[in-house]
Amino acid sequence: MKIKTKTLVTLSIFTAIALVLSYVEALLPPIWSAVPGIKIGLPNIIIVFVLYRFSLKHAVAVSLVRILLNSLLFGNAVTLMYSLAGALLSLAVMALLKRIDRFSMVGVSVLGGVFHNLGQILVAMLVLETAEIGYYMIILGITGTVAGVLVGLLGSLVLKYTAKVKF
Amino acid sequence: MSKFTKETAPQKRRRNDILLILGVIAALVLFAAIYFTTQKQGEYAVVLKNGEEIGSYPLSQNLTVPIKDGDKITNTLVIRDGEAYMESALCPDQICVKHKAVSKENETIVCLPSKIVVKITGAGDKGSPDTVV
Repeated sequence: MKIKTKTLVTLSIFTAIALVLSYVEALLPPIWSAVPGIKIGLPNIIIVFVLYRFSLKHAVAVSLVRILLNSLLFGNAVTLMYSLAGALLSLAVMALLKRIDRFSMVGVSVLGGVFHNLGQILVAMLVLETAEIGYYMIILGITGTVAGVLVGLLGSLVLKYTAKVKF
Repeated sequence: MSKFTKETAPQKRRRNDILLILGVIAALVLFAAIYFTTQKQGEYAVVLKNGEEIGSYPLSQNLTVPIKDGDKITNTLVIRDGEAYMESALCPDQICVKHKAVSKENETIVCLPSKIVVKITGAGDKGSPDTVV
């Protein structure tokens, strides 16, 4: 992928912001410790924004670098696997929904949030070799929807206020 | 203005968003309904006394099972329409009798005074490998 220096720098900055957001989120106390995986997904604000303002390829690049750095700095190989599965499935679904062009960023982000959790649960099922955790999807589907609404609203704001900025 | 700020029919998009969210919730409710009605449906009611199995009865049949302590019938377990419930008990508190009917895997009815536990198990626990749950 041929990329302009300016775009490269801009995307690097967004990657850094996303990385900081994942660190900030890790500092917050767990929302419900009985069910791991419930979070807003603050870095996804950046990912959705890049998907809208740049393209799917750029969003995938930012997401992959963010996850790799986050796992190296704060996580381990297991978190890397969960993060990758969630992020890639989520991005694929969001890109598809954005292409259909019938929904606002909130709708796109909601489905992204739900599929983010679905991807992680599928990995958990493979890792733990059990289908018993399928009921997690009911809880995480609801929290993913709420998180998706928040991310979509915040992402729309970022998009709105940077509309006149030339990246 | 760049193309990114141009919103084609925002009201329509918002309406579609709401429909999408409702769709997601409907899918989750459907998933939950399927999950709780099919996946964990038990196959057997196992009766334990002092932690030891004294009997196992398939939920697929309608049965009335007297549970004895020596010659005395302490509890009466009834299996009807795939559910098991305690019809009567000699104990004064009647907690097990008031307990709702059980049919899902790992659900239990406990009768503490007579040390009886009725536990629902799946087909796998009875060692029948060909049964699909």
